[in-house]
Amino acid sequence: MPYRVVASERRVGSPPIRRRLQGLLEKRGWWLFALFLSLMAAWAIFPGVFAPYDANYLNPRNRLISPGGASPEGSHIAGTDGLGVDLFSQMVEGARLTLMIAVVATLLGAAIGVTVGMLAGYFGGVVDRMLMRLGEAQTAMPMFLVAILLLSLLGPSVTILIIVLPTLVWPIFARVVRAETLQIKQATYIEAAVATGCPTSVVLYRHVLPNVVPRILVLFVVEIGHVMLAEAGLSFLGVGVQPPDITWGLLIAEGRPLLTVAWWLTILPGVLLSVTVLSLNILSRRFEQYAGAAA
Amino acid sequence: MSALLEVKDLSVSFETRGGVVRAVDGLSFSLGAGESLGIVGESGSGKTVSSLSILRLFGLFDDVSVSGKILFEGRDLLRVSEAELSRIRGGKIGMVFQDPLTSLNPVMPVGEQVAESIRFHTGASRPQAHRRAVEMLDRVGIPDANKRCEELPHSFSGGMRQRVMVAIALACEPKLLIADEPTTALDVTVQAQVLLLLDELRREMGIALIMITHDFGVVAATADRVLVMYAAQPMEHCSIHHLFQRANHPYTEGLLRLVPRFEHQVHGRLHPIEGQPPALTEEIVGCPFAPRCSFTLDRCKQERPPLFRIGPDHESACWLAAERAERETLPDKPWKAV
Amino acid sequence: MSSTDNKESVLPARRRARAGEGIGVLLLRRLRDGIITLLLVVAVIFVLAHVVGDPALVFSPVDASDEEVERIARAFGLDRPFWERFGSYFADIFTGDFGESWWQNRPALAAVAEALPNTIYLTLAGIAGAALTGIVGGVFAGSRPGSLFDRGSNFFSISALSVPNFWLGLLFIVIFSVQLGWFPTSGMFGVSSIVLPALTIAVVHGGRVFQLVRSATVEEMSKPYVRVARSKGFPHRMVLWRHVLRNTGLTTATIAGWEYVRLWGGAVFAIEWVFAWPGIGTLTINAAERQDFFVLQAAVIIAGVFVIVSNLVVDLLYRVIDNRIKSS
Repeated sequence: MPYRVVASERRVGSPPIRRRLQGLLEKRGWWLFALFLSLMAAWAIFPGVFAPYDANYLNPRNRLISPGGASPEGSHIAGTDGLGVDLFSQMVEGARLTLMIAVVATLLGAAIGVTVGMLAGYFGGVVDRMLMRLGEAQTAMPMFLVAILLLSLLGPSVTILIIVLPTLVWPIFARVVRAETLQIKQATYIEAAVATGCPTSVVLYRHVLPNVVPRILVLFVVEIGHVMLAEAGLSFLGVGVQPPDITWGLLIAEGRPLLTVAWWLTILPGVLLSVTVLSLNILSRRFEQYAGAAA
Repeated sequence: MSALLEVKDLSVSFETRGGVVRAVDGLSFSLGAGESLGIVGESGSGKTVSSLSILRLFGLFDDVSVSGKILFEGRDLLRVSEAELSRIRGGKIGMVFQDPLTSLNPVMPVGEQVAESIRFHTGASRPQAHRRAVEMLDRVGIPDANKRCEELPHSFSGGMRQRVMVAIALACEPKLLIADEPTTALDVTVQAQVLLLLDELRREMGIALIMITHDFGVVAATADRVLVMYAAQPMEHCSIHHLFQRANHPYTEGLLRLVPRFEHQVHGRLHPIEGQPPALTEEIVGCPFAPRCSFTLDRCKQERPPLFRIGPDHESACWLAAERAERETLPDKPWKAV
Repeated sequence: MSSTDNKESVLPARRRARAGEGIGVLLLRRLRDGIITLLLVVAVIFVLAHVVGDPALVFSPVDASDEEVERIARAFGLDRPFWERFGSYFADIFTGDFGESWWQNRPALAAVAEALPNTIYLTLAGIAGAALTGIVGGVFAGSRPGSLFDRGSNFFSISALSVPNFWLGLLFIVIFSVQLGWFPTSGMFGVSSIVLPALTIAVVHGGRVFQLVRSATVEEMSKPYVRVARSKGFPHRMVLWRHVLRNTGLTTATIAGWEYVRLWGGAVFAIEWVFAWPGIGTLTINAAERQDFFVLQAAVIIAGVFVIVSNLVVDLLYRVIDNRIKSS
């Protein structure tokens, strides 16, 4: 290219090599996060491969070893807890339930939200107003407190948690899908499908749904992160997952009483949780760009 | 006489996701004080980018590379400091944009939008600037200007808003006015009024004009000279009389045939130019118009024709023109590429 | 290039006022919606306590004997038919009778009323920090999209959104209380004890305010009138202050308002628990541990009323100011 930058609105003369590197990091940086997520998924599926110790094996003589230290049984990268259990192994073990609850609960929330949103958007009128009012009513409530109330009434358990968590996310899916459906409904090809006698269920399933999928996917990835944070919050407050099950949120809660003497017990599981949610956020942005460019 | 504005070999390219887009490619022209030039072309021909380059008004997200020179009163606008550019923008060069509906700040009274520019460039006090703004609004034909200047843009019609835009652009009595498709978004009847107003005011105030448009009617009404652009490149550059009587470039001829005129009624139809303009993300070899031209020579496909001087006030970027001219006149004098 | 350069408007559709609607009508409509919401919540609580659970057990202390449970069942008239119980329940709630806390030996409402001001105090301090950092950062980042500051702060804000708020609080305790000893680890004593919980809120919610303000600013900066302002010769700063902020100012302030409401949706309660801040969150979680149904119920309903009212106030202020701008 015979052209050079001699004047531009942005800072003149950003050196091309630096710019190219920046571009590379920005365009390809998401790979790192994708890689991290795959690793977490691998932890969840094959904890035995990654965990150096049994997460239930306790040895009080090895208690509160700080990260990087070693016991007669070997080294502990992330240290040990008050009972001498290896923290890294617990974190690996916790990945399974943490990810499982988040994914399943988000799937449920998405299923409800997409159905409601599509019906409300497609049929409009009273159905629309009723369904959307319900969603709005919910977003105008301190849902976290409601969840605490629910869980303490029903007794905390993983099953109840998976039932309660979707109530936090379905309105978001419903709102987005409804807006998209309203737009798609205007399209000529939908009119054509209706005019040629296509049944409503087929129109929704074959014509509306595929068009909504990219937006749902983007949202789904973000919401997994949100649900993960909500689960961690509830578990932290004692109304979520109960021991002996392990999730990262629960690990933070269990480490808390020892905060002043063993910081790693609370901080490290939190780092893991944060980086996972961050990866989900970054990936969803990437999807969004991709979907936006394709559209 | 030294020119007011001299554009020399201006090239502008944007880095986009789809690759590098060359929006302007080797554009040169000059403009004397008080003169007017029309730049004509289809959308995507680079005419708007050329005009924005003069004031370096690129978009927030644009990744632009510019080369060449834009000399305004002897200073290269591509290389002056931000502070100096700031004095020129709005002070010595005013600009009117295409869409009057969104070009005004929706929450600022129109009078203030005129006055703020006057205050910034002349250092006038608030009441002084306000008086000048009202005068200016009156001059562009806003009825009841001293009352209406307190109103927000949404209570003005499209034509009235474009008049306000003209008032803003001319408020500091610039030396040059750049009008980028100023009438495209307006109703036909209003178009004529705004054009007339623009032309009248600039003649009164002795302001040079660059009129960017796709409409030969607009050019005919406002410009002394015309520059036709195609695929980021200049095709033909001539006086307004030459354009309609002796258009030389096949592209210009093709465009002119598209202007509905009574003469053409005889034939009963318009003659569109076959094909599509080339993609600006690709390297163009030879004349960009060659694939659509009905007089293509072998040379057209291999070598890019420079602008040939083919007569007084007339240049054309066409090998055919060069050959024809060579045969007819002055065989011993080599043709100077401009 | 930034991901947000061609996003639709930042304002959700429902926030945009219906055309030609007066303030009075808006007020009434929102009040009606709020009351419906509250009724729904109260109904859900009733159904949970009376249908899903065994009400006699729900209403009794955890360690109650069988006789005690029976006595409570009689005292609450649990042998009455369903609809009668439903009716009297609603009557109780709307006359302000939220039941007696056996844990604190006083009306549940009194316990909640005592905690409420502390939560309000904390949320206001937190939102002030969040609004300040989020708005200032968002405007600067959005006015120069793609700049180093933009990319840096954008990444920082996404990170802030990805961090569990309670964990961030714990991290601050480790750093600023345990290691540096600058602030107390917990409780509410004097001004210094609010710094860490408020900072936690400021970081997490400031991140979201930043994101929204940034995209509002980017959207505004891409409008044609900004190019016109630049064509007048104004330097960047002046374009931003005179033109862009004049347009985004109200939206920006409203974003902070909604974030305040959102804070009540949950975030603040876990943070209170981390810092042992004597607000509604700490009260609720203690009540949940002790299975004190009446305190839980009162906390949910009172916090709900507060959310609905704050929502209403934000929307009304938006409309009033918007109208004033439009009509001036």
